[in-house]
Amino acid sequence: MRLSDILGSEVFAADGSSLGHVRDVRLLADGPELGAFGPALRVHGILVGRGSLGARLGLGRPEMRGPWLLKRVFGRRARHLVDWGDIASVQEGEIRLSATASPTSIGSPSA
Amino acid sequence: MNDRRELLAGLHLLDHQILDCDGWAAGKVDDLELDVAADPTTALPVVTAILSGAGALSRRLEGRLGRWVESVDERLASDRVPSQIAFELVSEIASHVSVTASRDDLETGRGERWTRERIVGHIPGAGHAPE
Repeated sequence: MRLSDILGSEVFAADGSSLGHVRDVRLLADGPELGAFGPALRVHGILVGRGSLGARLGLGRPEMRGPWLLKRVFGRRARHLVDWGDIASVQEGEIRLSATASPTSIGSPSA
Repeated sequence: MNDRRELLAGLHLLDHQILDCDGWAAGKVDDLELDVAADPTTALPVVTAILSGAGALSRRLEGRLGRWVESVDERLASDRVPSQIAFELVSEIASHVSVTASRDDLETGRGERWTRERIVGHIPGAGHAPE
């Protein structure tokens, strides 16, 4: 599988409702040792939300204080962090969450 | 050694410049190869390779343009498509991605090598290095 198979996929809750699209993928360096790199990067979760323009401009981040108008327009879009363990299936352009999934609402990723 | 423990793949890796062991540009991070268990709930996917070049970028280009770019890359490639850099070779992830190999030894330089051998090499005088 490639990262591009996940990015942009639409994410559905167990009841069929759409949470939005995958905006980014959260990686942690806690996998098996990989030569000079050290612990391998593993996928721990996906960042899901609507409105990619504001996210790409970083306007959803709390540390971004302006421009005021753009922040008002783009900065309040709902975003969720979904743990990889809450994913039931990954298909072409579509990710379905398990019934026990509990996406965390966030204003921004902790980058 | 990676200096950040937590990363966002799109923000911190995609489209970043790859630098080889001598500091030469060796392509861009166009995609990542993930090793995923058959049942995604049993294990976390591991990032195993950086994918670079037109063949890797094509998946991120929608429609006919993406298919055309992938097709061109497949025709030019004598090896596997898309070109990969094993993550074992990555030494640092910062504003760029450093690798421990020379760009001449990486698959990602094949587009440039193809151009040098098939086009530039046929231009009269191309074989004479400037003195």
